[in-house]
Amino acid sequence: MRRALPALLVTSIALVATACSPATTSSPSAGAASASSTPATSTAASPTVDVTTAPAAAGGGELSMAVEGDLQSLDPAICYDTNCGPLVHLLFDSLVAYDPNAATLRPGLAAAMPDVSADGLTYTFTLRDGATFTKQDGSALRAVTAEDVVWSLNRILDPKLTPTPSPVGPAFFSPIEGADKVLDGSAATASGLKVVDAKTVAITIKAPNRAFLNVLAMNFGSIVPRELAGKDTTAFSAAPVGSGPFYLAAYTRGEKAVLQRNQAYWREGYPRVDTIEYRLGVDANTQLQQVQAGQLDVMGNDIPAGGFTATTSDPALKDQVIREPLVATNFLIIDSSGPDKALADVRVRQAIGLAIDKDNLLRVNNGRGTKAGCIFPPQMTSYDAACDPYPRDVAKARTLMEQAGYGAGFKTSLYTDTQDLSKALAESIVQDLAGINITVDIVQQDFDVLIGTLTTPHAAPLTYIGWFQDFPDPSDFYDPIFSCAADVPGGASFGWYCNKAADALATTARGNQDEAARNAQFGDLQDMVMADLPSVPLFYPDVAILVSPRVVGNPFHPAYYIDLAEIDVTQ
Amino acid sequence: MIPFLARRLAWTLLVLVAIGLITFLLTFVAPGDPARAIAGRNASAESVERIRHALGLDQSILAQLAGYVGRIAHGDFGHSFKKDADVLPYIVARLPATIQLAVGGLVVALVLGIPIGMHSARHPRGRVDRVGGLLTSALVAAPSFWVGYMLLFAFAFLPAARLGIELFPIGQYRPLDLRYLALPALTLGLGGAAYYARITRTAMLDELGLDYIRTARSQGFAERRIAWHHALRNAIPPILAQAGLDLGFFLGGVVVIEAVFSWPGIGKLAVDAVTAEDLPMLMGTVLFASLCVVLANLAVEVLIAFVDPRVRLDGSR
Repeated sequence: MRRALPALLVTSIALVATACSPATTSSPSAGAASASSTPATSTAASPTVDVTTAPAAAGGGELSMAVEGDLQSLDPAICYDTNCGPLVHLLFDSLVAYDPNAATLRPGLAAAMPDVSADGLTYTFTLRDGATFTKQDGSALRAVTAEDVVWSLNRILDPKLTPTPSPVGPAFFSPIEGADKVLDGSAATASGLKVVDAKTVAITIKAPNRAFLNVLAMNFGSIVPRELAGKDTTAFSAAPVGSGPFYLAAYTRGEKAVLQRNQAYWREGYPRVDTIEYRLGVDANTQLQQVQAGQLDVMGNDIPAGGFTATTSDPALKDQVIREPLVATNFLIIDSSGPDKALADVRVRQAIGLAIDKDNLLRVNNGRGTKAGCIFPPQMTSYDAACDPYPRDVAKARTLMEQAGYGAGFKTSLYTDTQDLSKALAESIVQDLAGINITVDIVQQDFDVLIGTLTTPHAAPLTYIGWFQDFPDPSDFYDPIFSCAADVPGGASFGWYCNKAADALATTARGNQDEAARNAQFGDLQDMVMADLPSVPLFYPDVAILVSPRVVGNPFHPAYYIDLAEIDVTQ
Repeated sequence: MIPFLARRLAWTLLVLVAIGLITFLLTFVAPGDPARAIAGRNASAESVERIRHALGLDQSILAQLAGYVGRIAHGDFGHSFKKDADVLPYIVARLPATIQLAVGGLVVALVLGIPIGMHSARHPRGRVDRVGGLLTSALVAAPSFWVGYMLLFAFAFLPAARLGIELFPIGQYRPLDLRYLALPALTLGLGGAAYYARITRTAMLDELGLDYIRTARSQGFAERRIAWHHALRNAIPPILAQAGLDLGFFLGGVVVIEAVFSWPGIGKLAVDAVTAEDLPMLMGTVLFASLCVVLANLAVEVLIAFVDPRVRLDGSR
């Protein structure tokens, strides 16, 4: 998902489906423990919460949240930012979902986690009883069927959606067998999507890939009623109907959306509150004041830098600050195969990695974040706290520069976006690189222009940018940015990097059904990329918001960004 | 009368066409790729190409211009991909909020400005004139976002956060609710009031020095009556003209104040369109705002021509 604030890049390209490596038969389990640490201020629930059991306390009441921008769309085929994402998550269900406050998967519309065929290619889901679509007056439309599932997933691929097809969704769903024929218009339904009976769906993918379950849990995997969703995303966005914990009772575009609790929701006791008022277009500074004045419950945007220290150090407020790491890594990208011969030398890239003062970067960033040793952020199951091959060592960096024949240094450019904070961080990097005789100019570009630069091979020698998860699986920190498939014009290759051995390992790891072995393989993959260092991981950024004292629970979610279905309010 | 109207209308049309052409051309000089902007940062290269083709962005500038003109002529302002909505209905839906703010601000400006201007003119260099002059200079100079934040802080934030008394809501909107309208209208009106006080003062000073006022005084009319009944009536046209122009300008969206108060009007829409890099919506709001200003100009000219017999209908004084 893309964050609404342009601090972080999120790009995705088609997941690579390469040679098959048959894996052992097993049902992917949702019970794997999350590596996520629980921050002191959060009230994170345990990932092993039984989501089918009602909580003891009664829910009810009204909760308000505000976001800075407007909603991109409430159609799950289009929505892909952190303004509409938390709403789409509340209005719709997907086959699988995430545990409360954790990056582990659990059954959603499916009654249980799927049966996976011996070759790891076919996932069979049985829908749960009692899941119904809810109309805007709160009454039931009808039960969710297997046909809805197949129809909804084909819709993401449909090139005839108006006014435009889903811009991002197809990249994630193209691993489905036969997806290409739907994408090019030669078939209406993908051969890999099959209705077995009214309650059963079989989905076949081209190559074993356990992250496909994460793809199904994305908002793009939302199941929509075919008679209402139709082909026009604009119409469906104005009146979305899903089977989620809430339904959209009122919506004034650009002003607010009012959600009411779905009384017939299958998950007993959930959602917790009766009504959510979701206000749009409210400046983050105003949100901060509204929470303090008791006029808002949850900020949808970060506490602005200007008010951060005052808010977090105010004894009356600091307990209301919720601070969480994002599933994201900020990088200094180095063009490892471009015309700049110095940067193409791995010793120079390693010297850059050793020269950067990451502690100072964090200071510049208001202390919001954690120093990054390697690629995968801490909430990832494959996170390795010990992985830090380039701790700051300027003397060693200078030696490497000498050995590469660049002891006298060279000149290059660093690209970043137009935010003041990005510039300040870039300046800190420039200062560090001056220490090993690399002279760097900073080029600031508007974010959309910067994305154009980033997806044009060798257009930028160095780039400072962040990568925010599409879904919390390690493959999302390799496939879109470090794989050979990304190393093409229009791809988001972080460093125009292609290592065939790493790609082969990624293919094996993706399809591996054994959680521990899979994590170990992704760990080895991380080591391979870190040795080549096409990008230097700098820090894992945090997000911090203020909530009202009425809010019980932690609204942050590692995959959904904000999840209000689990939140209670005191009256 | 008819030739006058026809000429003004022709001009109005010409101005609108020019503005439309400029906004259209802006999309070509704006940095970035419109298809990429529409597809979003995350779209694959193929999706960007698909969208470029679907929208005709791969055609020549002339072909695109023809399409644009044709659509505008049919009242189709385009489609915002960043909001998944058609532009014109979206702008029209924002109009009620902007009308409330525009009218509210204008009322505050006139109700405060005219009496201060009257008093200053009747007692030039008196206490009110001097304090008023200083105050109006300060208010005209003060940026409205600063005034807005100060009012919010003093009357909405402090009472609620420190005393637990909710006087005014912070940056929210409810239609036709004075408690919600008060602070934004006051912010808009304060700057305007200062301006109207000055116009009123100048116009009144001109009138009060004229012969017919001396005649009225010599006949023993009370000063107050002379000022409010005789002089003001003749000083009204410039105030009216300004009010008409302001109304047109405000209806196009009060950009800064709407942004400060999270007021969901057309100005806020324009600001959001800029930050979201939503070109179709931005073009729509610019065209709409231009239309408001140009039509208000036209309306004021016609109105003045009717109200003030000194203005001849051939457009010259």
